[in-house]
Amino acid sequence: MLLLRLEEVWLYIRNFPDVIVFFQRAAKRFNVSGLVIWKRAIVLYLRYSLGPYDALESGLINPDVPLEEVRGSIGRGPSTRHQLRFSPRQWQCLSTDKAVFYAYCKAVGLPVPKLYAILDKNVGWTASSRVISERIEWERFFENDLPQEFIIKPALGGEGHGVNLYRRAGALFQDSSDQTFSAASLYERLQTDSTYTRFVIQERVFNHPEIQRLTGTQSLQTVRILTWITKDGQVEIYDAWLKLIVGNNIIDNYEGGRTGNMKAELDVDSGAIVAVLGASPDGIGFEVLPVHPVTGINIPGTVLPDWPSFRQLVDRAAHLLFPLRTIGWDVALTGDGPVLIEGNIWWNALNQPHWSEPRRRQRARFMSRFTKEP
Amino acid sequence: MSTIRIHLLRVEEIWVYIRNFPEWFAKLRRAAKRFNVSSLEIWKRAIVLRLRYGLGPDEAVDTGLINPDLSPDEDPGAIGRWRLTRHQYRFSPRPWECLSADKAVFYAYCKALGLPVPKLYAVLDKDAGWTASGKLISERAEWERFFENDLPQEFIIKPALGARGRGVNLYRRAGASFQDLSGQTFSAASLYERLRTDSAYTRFVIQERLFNHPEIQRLTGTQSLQTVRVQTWITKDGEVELYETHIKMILGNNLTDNVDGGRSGNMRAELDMDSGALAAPFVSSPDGIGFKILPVHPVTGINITGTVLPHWSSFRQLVDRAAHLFLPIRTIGWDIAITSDGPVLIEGNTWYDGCNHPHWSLVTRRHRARFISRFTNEL
Repeated sequence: MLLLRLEEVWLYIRNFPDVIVFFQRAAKRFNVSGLVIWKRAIVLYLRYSLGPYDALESGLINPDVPLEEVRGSIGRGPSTRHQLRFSPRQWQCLSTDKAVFYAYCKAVGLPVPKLYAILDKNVGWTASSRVISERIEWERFFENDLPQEFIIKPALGGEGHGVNLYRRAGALFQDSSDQTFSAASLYERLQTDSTYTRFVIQERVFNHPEIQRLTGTQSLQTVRILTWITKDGQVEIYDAWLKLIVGNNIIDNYEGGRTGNMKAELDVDSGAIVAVLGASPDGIGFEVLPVHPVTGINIPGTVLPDWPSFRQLVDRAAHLLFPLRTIGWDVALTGDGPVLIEGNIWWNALNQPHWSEPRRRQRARFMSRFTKEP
Repeated sequence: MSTIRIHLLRVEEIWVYIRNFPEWFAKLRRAAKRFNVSSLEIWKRAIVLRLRYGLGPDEAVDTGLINPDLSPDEDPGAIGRWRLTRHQYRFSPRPWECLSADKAVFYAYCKALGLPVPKLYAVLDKDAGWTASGKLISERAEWERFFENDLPQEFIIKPALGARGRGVNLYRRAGASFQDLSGQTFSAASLYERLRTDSAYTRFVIQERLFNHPEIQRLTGTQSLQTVRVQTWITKDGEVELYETHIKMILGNNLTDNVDGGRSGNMRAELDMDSGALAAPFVSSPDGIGFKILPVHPVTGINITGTVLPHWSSFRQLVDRAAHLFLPIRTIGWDIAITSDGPVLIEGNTWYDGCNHPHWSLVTRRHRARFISRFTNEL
């Protein structure tokens, strides 16, 4: 915890020049003085633990947003510290290592994408538990045992980094940037990756046709839902939103707006889309979009398919991943029902000023309990 | 992070040395008397063992390596507990510990990977639990119904995070009740209460009772499960190396095969890693200094030396597979039961002790020494 706090302080110091620039931009945007912005930022930090970037990205830096409406928000640093309290380190691999996550979920009957293989630095194994340690065996595996399309992603990746879609193109494999590989060069690519040494090779999953129709993409879009098991064993939900892909992205991560993707706030009870939020062009807060920018369909109000099954799955999964008590799930709604794609013990809240009043109150109650439970 | 843990371990080790100094002083004096030498000579030997092999005074005495008649140049391939743990820290990343440390996770993970484990009936946790079919159970009444209706005639309940066999219990149905190993009987309700109010553990696995291969039962005269401990390490080239292998044999009415520093009365027998042949069994010496080699099994009277354990090739294949499938944990002390259906993984321990003693064969001693040299020197 202490290390986390020190890291947080160091980040503030290191990024201070950037923060000055951003605050100046915010002052201009909201037509107030820099001092007003700074005062607001300090209050947001002291009261709601929102750091400068949290305040800017969420739009809560806007001095016109009553402070009352910030309740229920939590900054990145503090939320991580609490997540650390609720996620014993020894169990972290259950969610952080996708190879373990998929194997464990499969064992306890939770639906996950079909796993074809795990490729590790020296050795790996296939879904039939055959151990593969030689290059030539991997090449044969790529050539003979994989379907037309498959996903390869780092077992320990985060925010969608390193995820790639491969399609067979004759005897070769073409990735999402149209680079082609033979079985040998694909193996080489993975073995020489500068960031990751452990990869999962899994099926490509598709969204429910209704979601594809609404969003105009075949790339997988997941619902992020944040759960917490209280000390009484109840599953509570903090936030839920659908991560919407825009453009040619194959991953649905928002990444502070840099990917161009969007988020659609969801009503956690009904599964209805409440509002579509895209990054504001100046990086300060969100823009509420009236229609989907690609299909032009007015999606707020649309109820996502299989919502009751989704809620049941999340409830079960939260319990089955105990003693990890808080997880940010990425769940795909497919034609065959909900499928767990990831469980993240480190998650960021969806802080923004556009919540409805009931939702704001619910979030505030949640955050009060979450942060105060000893 | 692992560097910090290693430093903290060193601090803990120093504290343990200080705290236990009086007890160890007495132990070393007793050893001096046993071997008819001066205390000074015993202390010198203890210091050499500590510096060379990381063996603490207690370990040196318990294992018998304190014996000054043993050649100081003969490397026993030993390694002390603390030194071994520091290296295990290097090879076992903390976030993956639950894969082996938590039996609920271990069994689920192994099952998913096609590794043979005992059948898991349920996991009972503090606020909720689940059955092998993934059904969640959170209410007392549901648990009672589960105990009454969904468990077989005999079953094992053990703490998910237990070690050294602590907290393991065998239950048998006795009419509408359940009788444990000590003869105590429980209703479904009181069994639930017993588990929920356990002062040491909050998480339990409920699993099938396994039996050893009939040949092992015949040799050892017990139906209680005895496992083979084998310690594996995956080198940076991806090869599985074995440190040592021995079978843990139950004596008396013990349900578990843990030796527990000799306190349980159980014994061990070295195994030839290649053939699976047994060496003579050894048990803690009555005065607590070293071990006594037994010519025959004390219960059955059978001379077990040279007997080859059944299913040995399957055992070696399983160990090799399991070691790889548990990456990135690179070193594990496996407890494997040899049953009539073949080998079955009972546990994987990321923290294991070496079986240090002076009775290893020369071949094994040299193998162990080479292993420890590579294990401790790999960067």
